[in-house]
Formats: sequence, structure tokens, C-alpha cells
Amino acid sequence: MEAQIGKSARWGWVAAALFVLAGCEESHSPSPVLNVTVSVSPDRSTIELGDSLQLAAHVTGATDTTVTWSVVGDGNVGTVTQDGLYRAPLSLPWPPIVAVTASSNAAPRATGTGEVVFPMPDFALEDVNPGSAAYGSLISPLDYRGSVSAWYFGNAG
Amino acid sequence: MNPRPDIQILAINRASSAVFNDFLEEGEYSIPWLQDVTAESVWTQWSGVQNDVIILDRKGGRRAVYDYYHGTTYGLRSLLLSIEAEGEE
Repeated sequence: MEAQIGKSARWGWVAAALFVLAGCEESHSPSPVLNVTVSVSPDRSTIELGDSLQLAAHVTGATDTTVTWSVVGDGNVGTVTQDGLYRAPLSLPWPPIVAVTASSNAAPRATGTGEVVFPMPDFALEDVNPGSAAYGSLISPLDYRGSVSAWYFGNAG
Repeated sequence: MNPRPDIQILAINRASSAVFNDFLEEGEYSIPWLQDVTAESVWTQWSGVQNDVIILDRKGGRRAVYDYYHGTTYGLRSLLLSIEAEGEE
């Protein structure tokens, strides 16, 4: 019974909301709907600290195809010029992924994002598995550049 | 025949758990088992969480983190193959 009351109450709210929305539509002249989309290319890149990356924005649905560029986050996230040139910071941001956003000047709510990724911190650890081909050698993530690598965080204990 | 996927799998043992590495003597596993040490503190540097798998792209960037505790071998395999198939960035 309680569930039924709850359900009818919920439908009441939905009906009220629809009524209010319908009223709003009648009392205002409809504004043109802009179907503006922004995409950024490349959408994902891995670059070294201190390097630069040229990004490009593609705007559809508006005659004004200009955008405003920004880097998401504060502090050690790098900078971007209004030409879309991203400059990476010199030290590693954490997490090591930065989002660079282009927002349409015609419809600022329309945004596109490119992800800039930085290599994970390097290290050198010994392989202690006698059954491994690399047993006894020091291993670094740099050894695996050029391949996809998966690093399992195990706990022998 | 499909070419063998270029995916490397490694494990990093927590620094404080080095004394438990005896199981490796059984020779059951062949992947590199790296022993973290306080001087490197990779678990801290990489924000490693037990049973997570951090997947790096070909340039060493973090591409994904797979929660193996709640996941499956099949799920991890599928994710690795899809990332490997993306090719060069």
C-alpha cells in the first residue's frame, strides 16, 4: 500500500513538472536550438614532460567555428594558447592525465576535450621470480616502451 | 593466423611483503615478479592498490586501471586486447 501511495505521488510530481514546463513553453517565444558540437583532435596523446602538443578543434552546427581553449584543473597542469598549443608542465601532474578543453564561442556549453597523458614515473626493480626469463635483472617501465604493458600490484603476503 | 599480441604482463610485490616470496620457488609462474623496495616505493609513486592492474600504453602513459579483485581474467584479457588493438597513438 505504501508503495502504491509513493508511486502515485511520484506521478503527481511528474504531471506537475510537465504542466509547469508546458506553461513555460507557452509564455516564452521559443529560442533557436543550437545543435553545436565540438571535437578535439587528437583526442588522446601521450607526451613527455615539457613537450608541446598542437591540438585542433572541429566545430559543427555553428557559423562561428572559433573556440576558447582551457586546461582543466589548477596548478601543475600545463598551459594552452588560444591557438590550441598545449605546453606540458616540467614536473609530473597527478593523476598523470590532463584534460584540455575547447568550448565553442557560438555555444559555450558545447565543449570537446583532448586528454594529454604523461609517462608513469620510472623505477628499477629486481625480478625475483626464478621462473621468469628476466630473473635477477633490474626492470624498468622504460624497458617496455613500444608495447602495451600491464603491471599487477600483488601482495605475496 | 593472427599475430601474437604485443602485451607484457608483470607483477610488483609490496615492499613489506618480500618475506613471502617463497611461493615463487615452485616455478608455477613465469611472469616477472618485481620486488618493490623502500628506496623506490613504486606502490606509492604509482598509487598502486592491491590487486589493481595498471595498464600502460606504448609510450608509457597510464591507459587504464583494472580492478582485478572485482574483475575476471577474461575481463582483463579483453581490456588488454582492446588497448593493444588501438595501435600507436
